[in-house]
Parts: sequence; C-alpha cells; structure tokens
Amino acid sequence: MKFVPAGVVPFVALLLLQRRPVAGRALLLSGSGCPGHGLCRSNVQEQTRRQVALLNATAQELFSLYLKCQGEPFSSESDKLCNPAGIFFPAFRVNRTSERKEVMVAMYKLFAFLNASLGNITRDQEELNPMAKELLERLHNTTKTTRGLISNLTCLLCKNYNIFQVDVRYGDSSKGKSAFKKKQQGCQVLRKYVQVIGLAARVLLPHLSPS
Amino acid sequence: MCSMFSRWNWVACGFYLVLNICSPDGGLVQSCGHIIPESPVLALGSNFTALCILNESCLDFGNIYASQIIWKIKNKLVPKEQYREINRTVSSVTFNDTSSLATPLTCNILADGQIEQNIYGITVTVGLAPEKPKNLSCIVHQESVLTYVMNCTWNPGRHTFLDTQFRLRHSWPEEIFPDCIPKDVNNSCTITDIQFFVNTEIWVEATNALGKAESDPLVVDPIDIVKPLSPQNVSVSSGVLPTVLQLCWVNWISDAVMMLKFNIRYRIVGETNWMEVPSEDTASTRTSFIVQGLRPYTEYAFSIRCMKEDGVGYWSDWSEEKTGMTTEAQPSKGPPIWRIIDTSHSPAFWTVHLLWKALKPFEANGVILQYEVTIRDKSSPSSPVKKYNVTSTNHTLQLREGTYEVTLVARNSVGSSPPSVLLIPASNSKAPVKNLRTLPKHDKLWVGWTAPNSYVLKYVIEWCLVSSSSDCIIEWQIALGGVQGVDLKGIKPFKCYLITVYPLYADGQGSGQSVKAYLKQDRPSKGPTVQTKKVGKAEAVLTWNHLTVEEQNGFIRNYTILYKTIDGNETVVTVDPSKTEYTLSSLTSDTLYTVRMMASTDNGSRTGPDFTFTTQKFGKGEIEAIVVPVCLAFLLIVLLGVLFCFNKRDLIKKHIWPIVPDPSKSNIAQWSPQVPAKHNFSSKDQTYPEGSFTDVSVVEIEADDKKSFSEQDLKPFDLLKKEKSTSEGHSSGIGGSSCMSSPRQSVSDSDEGDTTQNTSSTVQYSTVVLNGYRDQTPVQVFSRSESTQPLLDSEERSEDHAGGADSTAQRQQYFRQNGGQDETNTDRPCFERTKQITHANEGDLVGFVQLQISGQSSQPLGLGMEKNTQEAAVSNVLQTCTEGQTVRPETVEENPLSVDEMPKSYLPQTVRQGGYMPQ
Repeated sequence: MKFVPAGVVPFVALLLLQRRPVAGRALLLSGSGCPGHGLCRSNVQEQTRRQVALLNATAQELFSLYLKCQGEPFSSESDKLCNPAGIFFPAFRVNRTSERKEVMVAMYKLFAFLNASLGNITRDQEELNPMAKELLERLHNTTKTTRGLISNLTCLLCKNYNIFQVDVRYGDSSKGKSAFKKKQQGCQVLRKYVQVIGLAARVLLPHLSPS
Repeated sequence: MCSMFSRWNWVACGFYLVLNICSPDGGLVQSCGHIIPESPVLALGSNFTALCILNESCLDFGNIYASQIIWKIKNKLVPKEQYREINRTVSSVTFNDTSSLATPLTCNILADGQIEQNIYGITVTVGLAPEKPKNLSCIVHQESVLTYVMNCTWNPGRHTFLDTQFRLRHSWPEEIFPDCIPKDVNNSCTITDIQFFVNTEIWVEATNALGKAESDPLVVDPIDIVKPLSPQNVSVSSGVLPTVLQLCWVNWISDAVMMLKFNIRYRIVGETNWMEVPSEDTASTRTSFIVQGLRPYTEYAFSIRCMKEDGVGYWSDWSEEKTGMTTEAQPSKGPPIWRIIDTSHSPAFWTVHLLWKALKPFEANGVILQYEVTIRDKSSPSSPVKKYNVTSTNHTLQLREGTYEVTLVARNSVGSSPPSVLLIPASNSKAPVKNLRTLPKHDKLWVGWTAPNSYVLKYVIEWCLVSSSSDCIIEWQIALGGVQGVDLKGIKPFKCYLITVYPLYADGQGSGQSVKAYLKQDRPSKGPTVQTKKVGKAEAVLTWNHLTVEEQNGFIRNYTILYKTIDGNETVVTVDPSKTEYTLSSLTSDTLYTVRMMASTDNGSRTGPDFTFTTQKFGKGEIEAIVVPVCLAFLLIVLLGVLFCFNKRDLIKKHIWPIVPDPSKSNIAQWSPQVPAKHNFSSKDQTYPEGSFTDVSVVEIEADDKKSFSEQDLKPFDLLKKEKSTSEGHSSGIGGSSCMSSPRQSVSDSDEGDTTQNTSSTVQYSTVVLNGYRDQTPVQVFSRSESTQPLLDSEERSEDHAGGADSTAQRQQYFRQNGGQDETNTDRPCFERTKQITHANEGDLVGFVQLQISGQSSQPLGLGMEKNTQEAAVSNVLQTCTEGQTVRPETVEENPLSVDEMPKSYLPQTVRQGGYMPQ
C-alpha cells in the first residue's frame, strides 16, 4: 500500500497479496512486521468503527450541502442529475455474515476509492465554489477521515490477516471535464457514498464491536 | 610581508600585490595561505586542531615558511607548545579544550624584522549538541465545530549556544505529515491538520550544527486529548414546579465524533458557593437537563462544561453563566415574632411593640404582600379577636395588662405561611435559663445557656450594643427550644454587648438572664486620668473616673497605679476595677511623686497621663503639736511674769519709774547758789505752763566739779564770743534769720545720725542726779525724759561713764533732746530741721535749751546761761557747721583727746556731734 495524496488518483491496479498463516511456524510477517507496527494497537478496531460511524453520520449532511452549493439544477434535480448508475463505484457486496477479512478488504477498496474521489471532488469544488467554506471544510474532514480509515484498515489487514496489499480500482478523473460534469460526477459519487457508507456502517458494526 | 625589503623588493612587492588583487581566481585579494577547517562549529570541551597552509607562491616570493607562523586567538598569542610544523608550508595548532577558543583564530607570519603579518583568520563557533527534548505533551483544542488544532509542548533541554532548530513531527503508520516548525519559541508548536481515530506518533526533533536529538515518541489518538469547546447557547427556563429549572444547550461536537459527559454547576445569585449536579446524572451526551431541588422564587446562575464521555481528555472551560428564576411558592414558615412592652406610663396599661423579622428569601418563597396580626386576650376569652393587616414588620398596640396570644401570618401571591404564635404573659414568672455564657467564634459570638428543667418551646435572645451616649437598641433572634446556644451575627469587635436570653414556655415566659460580652477585646483606647484628692505627709488619696464603655474595648480586669519619685524606682499597685479611689501610703514627705494609671483588659493595657504631686512636709497636727505647747508655755511665762510684776510692782516702780520731783516746785532756789539761772528758768515757766517740764531733770553739780571746766574748755566760748562780735554782720543769712527763729539748732553733721535717729523716736531719757536732793542723801537718780530724741553712743557712754565713775564724780548737768535728728538732715536747710524738731517736741520742748556735751568735755551749767546771752553768735556758728565742716564722731571717739587738735574755728569743741547747743 502506498500513500496516495488526496486529489491525486493514480489508476493503478494494486495487487492483492494474501499470506496465509502457517501453522506451527513463526510468522515471518506477523503484526510486528506491518508498517508502523508501533501504532497498530488494539484500539485500531474501535477507531475504525468510529471512523465509519463518523462518515456515516456526516455523509448525508455533506451530500446535502454539496447539492446546495452547486446550485440549480442540482438542488432541484438531484435525483436525476446525481444518479450514480453511470459511474464506477466499488462493489460492496458484503453483509453481516460475511467473513471479517472479506469485509475488511471490501472496506479498504471502498475507502481507498472514496478517498481518491473525495480528493478529486474537493479539488473541483475549491475551483468551482471557493467561497463554500463549510462544504470545503466538510470535504476536507471527510477526506481526512477516509485517510485515517485507510491507515487503520491497513493496520487491521496486516496485523490480523497479514494482508498488506489490496488491489484497488479508482474512478474516472474529472480533470479536464466541464464544470457541470465535475459537479455532476461529484454529486453522483457523493450520493453513492451516502448509500454505501450506511451499509458499511451496518455491516461493520458487528464485526468491529468489542468481542 | 613586504616590509624590510629593499627598494627593489618594494617594487616587486607592489607588483605582487597587484597581481594578487587582480588574479582571476583569487578575487580582489589573494591570501598567502588559508586555514582549515574553515569556520568550524565545535563542541564545547572537545579538542580541535587547525592547519594553516601557506601558498607556494608566497614561499618563493617572500621567503615565508611554516616555521614563521604564529597563531592568535583574537589578539592573544597561542603558546608555541600548541604549534606543530607539519612541513614547510603547513603549521597546525591544537587546542585540547575548545572552551579556551575565541573568534577569530588567526594564522600570522612573523616576517623579517619581527613584523607580524596576518595570513588568514577563521571564525570558530563553540556550542553544544542539542539535548533530547523531554516531557512532550499535546492537547487538542477545539476551535469550531469542525476545526481542531493540536498544541504540543516540550522541554527543549539545555542552551546549546548554537542555532538549534526544533520541529514537531507526527506520523501515521505509513504516512509522515509535514513538520510543525515553532515560531519564536523552541518549546511548543501547534499542528492544525489532525485526524481523530488514528493512532498518531508525535515526536520532537532538535537539530543544530553539532547534531540532532529526538524526543521519545508520543503515540496518541488525538480524540483522546481533546479539550472541547464548552456548550453554547445555554438557556434556563422555569418549570411547572417552583423548585426546578430546565437547562438547554448546544454541543460543539457531534455525537459521531465524540460522546460527551457534563458538569452542571449552579448557585444562588449573590452567593459565591457553587453547587453541582451529581456527575452520574450528567455522564452521557445530552443537550438539556432539569435541575431539581431548587428554592422557590430564587434566581440561580448556571454554568456547564463537558469532556469526552469516557473521561479521557480534558474538560472544557465552563460555559458562560446563565441565570434563571424559580417560580413562587407559599411561605414556608411564619415570621419570628417578639415584643417589647413599655409600662412606663402605667403598669396597668401596656404599650406593646410587636416586632417580627422579614422572612428570608428562601422562607418567603416569593414577595410577601402583607402580614396578618391576630391578638387574643387569654385573660378574657370572651373578648373579641383583633386582627390587623400590616405591611411593615412591626406593630404597636395599647393593651390592658394581661395574658395575650399573638398570631402572625405572612402572605405572598401563592399563599400564607404557617402562623407564628407569641404568648405574652402577664408576668415573666417562669424559670430562667441557667449558666448563661458567651464564646467568640471567629466573627460570630456564640451565646450558650443551660436549659431550665421545664420544656421550653423556644428561646428569645436579645442583644444590644452598650453605649454611654445612646440608648441600647435591641436586636433579637429566636432559637428553637432544643438548642442551647446560638451564634450572634453582626457583632462588632471591641464593643460591649448586653445579651439577654428569655425562655418561652407553652404557658408563659421565663425571666431574662443577661450577660455582657465582647466578640473581641482590645486594650483600652485610653488610660484613666488620675489625680489626687488629698495629699498628706506620707500618703496621698488618688481618684479617677471609670473609662467609658466606648473607651474600654474590653472588660477592665484591673487598674494599675504606677508611681515613683523623680529618681526612685517605680512602684506598682494593682487596684480592683470597681474602685475609683486609692490611697497611696508610706510615701516620703516633701517629695515630688509622679503617678500614672493603667487600665488593663485581657488583650492589653493603656496608661493614662502622668500626674505629679508633692507630699507635705508636716503631717496633720504636727504643727499644732509644736505651736500650741509653745504658745501655752509662752502664755504661762507671761502670766507668771505678770504675777511676779504685780507682786513686785512697788519695787519695779521704784527702779523703773521712780517718782521724779517737779523742779518747778523745787526749793532748790532757796539754797542753790545759782538762783539767777533758776530764775531764768522760772521766767520761762511763765511762758510754758507747769507740767510741761515734767521730763526735765535738774542735776546738781557739786562745787568741786567746777574745776573740770578748765580754761581750755572755756576758750572756745571765748572764740565764740569773738566770732560773734566779728561776724555778727554775717549772721543775717539763711541760717541767721531762720535758725534764730528755731528753738533748737543742730551743731553737728554726722552719718551716725541715721542709726541714732532710728533708735530714738520713742526713747525717753533720764538724767542722773548724783547729789543729794535737798537734805536727802545723794543718790543716783534717773529722771525720765519725754523726749523722743534717740540715744547716742556718746551719750550712752557718757551715762556709763557717769554711772561707772561716780566715785570720781565729775557731775555733769545737761539737757538732752532729739540729738540725732539733725544728724540725718545736715544737708537740709536749717529751717527744715528746725521745723522738724518743732513738730516733734512742740508744746513740750519749745523753749528748752538743748545742750550736748562731749564725753571729753563738760560744760558747766553756767556756760549754758552764758550761752543764752550769746544766742545770736552761737546761731552763726551752728550755721557754719551745717555747711559741712562738722567734726566727725569717729574722730572724736577714736581720739578722745584730739579735741585739742581741732581747728579753733570750729565751735564749740565741747559740743559733740549730734548734739544741740542750747539756744
């Protein structure tokens, strides 16, 4: 996993590597081998849950504020203009009964995508609505939260499942597109984000609750 | 390096310098050498070696070699022991301790002629490597709903003397964030980009030229070190109940970020003590809370703070205070009531002043609109109940003596208070409290008592400030029957209070017990002024006035009298404070004492002004004891003397006041050979009536005494006669006419006249008659004279002489009169003198010839007769004498025989000074 600065979304397909634990053998890549293992503590699971809950709690406000700041026709025709059907969004096909590792991987893919998309949206909005301070602030905070979430998921995947690389697909870049398209793409991503984050929160809750 | 060269060398040197200056690689000036290392930064206390490397060109041109190099620190030469010549172009210097280094370190050449030339210099910086930063701690401050900043502080360690950079770093497992560089400080920095719910590693790096140091990392989830903003928009609203208020507020942090717990504190407006809602009631996130158990109709102030629900992190600041007021409720109790009964007008009719205290706010539970007073006459139950609605807190009634029950109720907008009942008995006949006492407790005065044996409903405690100038204004309070002590508030220190406690029974009232008390005592503000009431020889009665109660500042425990003499030790006497008089005893007589008086309380003393008094020299009765016996003794002696004199009166009269025969009736003329002279006297008798001469004595001189009048003695009279004949024409001057008219004339001028005159005014003279009278045996007889002329010494002597030499019996016969009068008036005109004499002897002495005879001379009686015939001449002589040529009596006395030596012109020599010539 490489650090992906916000706003820069390389279209790189990351290789998912899974190292199976070998019974009776010392794990060469146990938790102590994870990057920043000193920070990968037991509270990371709870932190991850709180981060998802935080994103879930703020997603709708962010989307509403985004629509409000884009003006017409987005504020009145959001259902039509913001329909995410036509855009790429990582599949989140997990439920409460899914394996925990599977959920973690899906989460990683989702928030890696979201982090990149939110970075793009923030960049576009700084250009299109530089005076929308609250929106920009919320976009910044959400992006930062997703960054933190990715950091925690990396810790969990590595520490618990020895997974330290996940293949992530990112969406199309809005660079070079028209302002309307930029707004629309952001609107579509955020709408989908609102939907998926709620699901993720619900799915993740039993998995991350203290056992 | 170019000095001491020859002229050619000077030219070459100049050329060389030009080349150096203009050389393309050396810039403007090219040095002949350089030092390595260039401007080093050295650790303090380490060793250091520098090399000075000379250019080859300089070697060839200027004959400069490494052996000539000298090193200097500033301008101080480095000892050559520290040099080392590595080769002919390189010299090194070594310092074992860089603390001895300073800037600049220069490499110099000692050229020919010992002229020192600088080759190169470097700046040496000495310092310390940074220490590891310690005590790193961070706190996340919430600045707005979505904005958080993390401020970290640390201990930067020792001063390094170098430019040291500190940077605060933080990272996630795979991500290192931009450093936070402190501005203007080296011990704190604020990170603005933080993310909750991620373990973040935070550390501090300190870097300078000598090294780098890192603090121990701090790993923390920023959410755990948040200090949130305090709740905002706090509002307070009253509920349905008068004892609750509802608080509402807004949290700055969403629940998704952080669940909060709260502290709610509140206080009654005007009070300082806060009360707090139990923390367990506010341990979860909320935006409102109902505070219960409040007082009705009371304004409260509220404040809230919050922190992370699990208690990890920091409490926010307290929110701004918001106030709210509970609603009214009916008064919770009746007002305390008391009475003061004035029976001064008539014992049978009372003026009853009912007093009650306004309910405290927490008792009134609202605004008291009015009080209802009900009076029941218990003495006559049939009497109608009287009701009064009063808005003040007192009411005055005129009641007949008896037992009354007073009921008081307070009303507000919600309802009435429970009634307060006061029984006013006809007399306070019940048992009083016992053992009434007081005890100061900080700023309160505790009053305690022992309850009577009977059950007491409550106690009324009255107190008032005792003053010498105003009446005692009574304050009071009520205590429940179960208590045996109360704290009196509002008591001033150093003031005397009279405290009275009345027990109130269900059926009456006990008599009051009183005590005086101070909350705090001080020494008196002034000392007593002492003075004496009576002072004796060995005791003194001192009096003083009591200090006024305002001056006492406490209970006067005793008075102390301090007294002393000027040089004696001070004596101290302690006196009971109830006394105002004291007698000092055992004092020393006729001694000045200083006394002062000191009044003492439990907390000190104050001395009054000094007072001085002097004890008497004699005690009472001592003078009387001396004087009375003396007087008695004197009187006794006088009495005895009188008795003695009375018994011996004949003898005394015989000796002191003999019967003097009247010369005018004398028969001497019948047998005296000097009849004519006598006859002359007789002729004068016709002018002056008989009896005027009772003081005249006639002295008989024996015939053989005549021999004493020698020729020598008579010579002056001859001269006198001559003088008179020759100077008769001159006698008509001042002395002439006036003196002639004078019955007597002074012939002497003497200073002794003063003494003589003083003793002569009332002395009477006697003349001794030596011869027998008639046919009687001649005895010495003293004839008393009525003259006031003073006795003269010479006369006394002549008397003595006459008395003591009666055997030689040179009998002299003369008249004396006012001998000294003129001696004091010799400067006066004769007229004056004559006049004085005339006044003194007028009626008695006028016409008598006065003759004074010197003790050495005697003047026969016949001469006197002759003198009468020469009256005018004598007067002239006397006039001359008054002009200052008088024979001094001293001369006469010291040289009794010098009469012969006297100038012949002074007449008469036989006349003694102060005497009178017969006229």
